[in-house]
Amino acid sequence: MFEMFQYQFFQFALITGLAIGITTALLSNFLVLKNQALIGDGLAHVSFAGIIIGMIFVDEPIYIAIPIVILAAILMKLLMNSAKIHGDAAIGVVSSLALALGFIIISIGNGYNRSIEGLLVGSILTVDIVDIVFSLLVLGITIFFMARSYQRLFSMTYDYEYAKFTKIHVKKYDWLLSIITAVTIVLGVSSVGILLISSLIIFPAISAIQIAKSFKHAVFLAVIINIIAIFFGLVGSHIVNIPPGASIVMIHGIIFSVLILVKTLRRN
Amino acid sequence: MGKVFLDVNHLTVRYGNYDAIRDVSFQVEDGDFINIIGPNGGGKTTLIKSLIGLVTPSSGSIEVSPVVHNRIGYLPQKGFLNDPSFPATVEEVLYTGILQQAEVSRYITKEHKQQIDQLLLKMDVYHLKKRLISSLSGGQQQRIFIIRAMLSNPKILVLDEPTTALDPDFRKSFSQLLKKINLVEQMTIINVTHELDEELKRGSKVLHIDQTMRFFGSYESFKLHSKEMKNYV
Repeated sequence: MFEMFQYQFFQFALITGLAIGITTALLSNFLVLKNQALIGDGLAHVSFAGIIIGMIFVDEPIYIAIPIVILAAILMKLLMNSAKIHGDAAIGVVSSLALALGFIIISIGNGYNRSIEGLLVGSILTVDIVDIVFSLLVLGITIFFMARSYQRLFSMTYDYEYAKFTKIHVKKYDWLLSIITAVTIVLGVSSVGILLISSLIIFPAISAIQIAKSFKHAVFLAVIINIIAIFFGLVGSHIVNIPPGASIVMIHGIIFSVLILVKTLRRN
Repeated sequence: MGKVFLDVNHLTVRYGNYDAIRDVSFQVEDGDFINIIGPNGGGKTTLIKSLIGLVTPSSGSIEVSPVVHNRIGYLPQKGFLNDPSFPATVEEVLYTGILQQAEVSRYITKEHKQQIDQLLLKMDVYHLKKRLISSLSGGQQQRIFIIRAMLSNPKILVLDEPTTALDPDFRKSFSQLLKKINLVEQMTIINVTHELDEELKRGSKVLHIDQTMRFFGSYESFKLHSKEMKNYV
């Protein structure tokens, strides 16, 4: 039943999935509690265009997709800050334009159809060593960033204006958070797909805050929740033969429902 | 006459074509308790945000005494109206106040934690340290935010409508607390308020603003000379 752990493709999937899962979980509370949960969805749409464009030029499309998605994240921030467009609207403007660009390139080019399916639902069982290296690298950078900037990020998330008053360079940290999120999303799209990557950002935080006793506890719980969902999602998908991305999200749905129930029972 | 901490000269803040405040001049002296009053949209919040550096003046100047530099505590207007699902403890919220003084390391040290404990004990709220801030009453939350503002060992405490949304009993005890901080801790206080209750009146100055400065002086002279006093008492 557990022979899957002997297969290299499954080991690769597990390492990549867990690395992306821990990274998104670390970012999760900071994005969701700042009402930026949808940035994951928006950047995933941009990743779609980025990866399609990347396929035209290189063997490993993430080399092209990563800078494109970083640029899109910067553009979203500029629209929010300079043009004073509301956060959700700015994400919508950039992501829908990118999605449209992706579809135009597909309609002009040929032979992308199989890749499109992979991008929509993910193809974590086909990740290669480049994906593993990138995922672990981004995880390392994220842990370093969080360890150095945790207090400042918490302050900005809790009360942005007060953080400015205490002379925190809020814009600098906003940019850094957006860039790390953008790179994580590109890697996540290749694993769990465009349709499901935002769940790895949204679910850990909303599940964790149901029972968290502090913000630090919420960050810790988010990491544990994503690890559980990805591990059992992957194993479950192999056993019952369903797409891994969908399986991971279903596990998240179960965890969230149980925690809501626990919270309600505690309150009563 | 006390030492001048803040010298505001012909301050104007403009948003587009709209003057939020125009040509405001006054001085804040050591030991002052200044109540800023005025109608909604009259520029009270803009004025104090200019004083603490969150809003850049369009013209005019604010000269800050070197004694006060980096030693201004701030209690924002909507301090206690946070997202009820936000899982932050009292202790974690207080850490955000430490960042103002932790210029070099920006990390929370053992000494910082001791300082927090001392203030929590002093304000009789040590037992709330591990509680989620969202689970506290409005009055308890405001006490925590006062402690956060005091963590930078401020010379001046700036408060933006701290008693709005508190019930009358809490409002009275909070005003008493502010008076005590002013007199016992000898901290200068600038307090934006809608209403001058008994506690706030005594020994204070009044700055009445409605885009331009209408009055600045002692409460007693405000009472004698201002026709608009009845709106705020």
